[in-house]
Amino acid sequence: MKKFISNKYTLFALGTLFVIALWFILSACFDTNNGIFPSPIATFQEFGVLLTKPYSYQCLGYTFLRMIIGFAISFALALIVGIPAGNHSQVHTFLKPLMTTIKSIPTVALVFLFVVMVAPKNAPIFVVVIVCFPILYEAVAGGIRKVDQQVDYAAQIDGAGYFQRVLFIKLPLSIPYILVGIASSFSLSFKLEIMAEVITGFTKNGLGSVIHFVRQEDPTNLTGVFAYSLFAIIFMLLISLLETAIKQKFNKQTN
Amino acid sequence: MKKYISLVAAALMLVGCNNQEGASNSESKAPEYDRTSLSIIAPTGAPALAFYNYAKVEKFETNSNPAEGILPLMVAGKKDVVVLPTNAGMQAIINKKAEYQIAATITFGNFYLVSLGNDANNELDADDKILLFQKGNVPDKIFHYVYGDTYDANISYVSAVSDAAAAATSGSFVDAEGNNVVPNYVLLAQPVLTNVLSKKENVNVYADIQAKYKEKSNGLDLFQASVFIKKSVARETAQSFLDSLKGDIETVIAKPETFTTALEGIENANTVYGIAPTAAANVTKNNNGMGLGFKAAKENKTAVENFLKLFNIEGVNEEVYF
Repeated sequence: MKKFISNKYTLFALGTLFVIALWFILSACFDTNNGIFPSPIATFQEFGVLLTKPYSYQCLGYTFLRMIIGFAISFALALIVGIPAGNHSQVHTFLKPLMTTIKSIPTVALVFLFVVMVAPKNAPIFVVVIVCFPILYEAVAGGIRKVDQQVDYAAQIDGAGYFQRVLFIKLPLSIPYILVGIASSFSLSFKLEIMAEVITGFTKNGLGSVIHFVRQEDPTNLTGVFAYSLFAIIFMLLISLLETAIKQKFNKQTN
Repeated sequence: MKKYISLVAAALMLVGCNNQEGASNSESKAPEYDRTSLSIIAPTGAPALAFYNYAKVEKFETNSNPAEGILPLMVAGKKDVVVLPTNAGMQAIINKKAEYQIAATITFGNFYLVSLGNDANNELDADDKILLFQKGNVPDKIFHYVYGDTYDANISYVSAVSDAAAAATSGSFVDAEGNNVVPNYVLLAQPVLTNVLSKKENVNVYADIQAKYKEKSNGLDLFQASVFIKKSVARETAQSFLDSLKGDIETVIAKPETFTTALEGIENANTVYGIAPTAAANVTKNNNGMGLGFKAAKENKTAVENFLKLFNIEGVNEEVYF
């Protein structure tokens, strides 16, 4: 029994049941108007309808594509800036004010700037970049800084040049830190993409656009909004499972 | 040889005549507007619906957040044609020096005051609780223009028409202070009004705000949302665009099913236009509920300026008109 309860799959299933039970309770308490806080049953029914519509997948695809573009830009920038910052404390100190500014600036203030600079269609991509870049930068720079100096010296004695040490020793050793940065910012970037689509008022294909429309079409019934959100949650859950599988495979290889 | 020369000369004359004929034809009939030639942005809802023939046009886009998603683009001069509430567009031209001219108004109001059926005397008076949306913006200004400030003590606000519709359906709302308020009258706009009426039997239209506005303005229409054209667009192109748009609007008012036929098979029509094509057709069938129309701004300066007065915009320069 104890083994059954402590099994991670059992715990996960129990946790899921807890979320659904909590959802039922909250819906019963707050859904005064049959739709303002839809129940799990109504949401899953609507979700079933969404699964049959090709347009739902199209919206999901476009949102995911824009998010991936934003994430890829962030990651590339993080590597470009993070590698020198991780190897040279002077660069890290020099970049500190910039990184603090990027991290602290209210995202919503920049959204409207991006609307003018790159059009509402592309603004969400840059919202993802502005939020994910500092997280990934810290992961890259922090990972490299944490590499044991002795390893670096040993490589230097063995005749490895500067770029060889950075690319073939420091960077691979910092991968666990980078993976943590990727894991923490990946799901966040998906949420940001959807939120930015709503804020920028972009109306062509995207989960944010369709959530906004469903809310506008019938403001008294949020079942559609919940169903599309569930669609996004399940998709991200699948992505995180894939992420875990990749991480496990990587850990096995490195051990 | 002479024979050949005369033959060539005759052929050249024929070609010349043919070209002249072509030229005279083009003079008599203006070339049809190519819908892909101008970049256009419009807010979702009634103004976007006027562009039902542009659903597949890459250079046409809509935005559900006009203040943040369209106005900055107009100030930056990013689009050839911008559709905005008349006051917002004019303020951008006057205060922010946006390089645009007002060409025509395409929506003439879709506001309705609804009664929730809980007013004992069924008559709007000072002790009734009223719910409006968008404080300080078009709906609020028009309500105050029509009814004055007699009811101000009992007026509450929500930020969007969707919140007002939620309040009308549920019968109550939570105000800014966190109090639960039961309104007697709620200001709504089409197409959400149709949705509310279909859900709540006791809710009914108390007043057509457009009609009240017209009555108070000696017959002048409510020039709500207008088309602004960038000054750098060639006049002939702009004029042919306006003629084409006018034709599209007149067609859909006469035959509202055009919305459904024109947007059939376009998967993202709902999100792009902010309303399902069938709903748009139904609302338009009901006495042009979306308030669509086409009136050139220059020919209706008095009406435009009457509307602008609500926002303290006066003494508009002649150059602002297309």
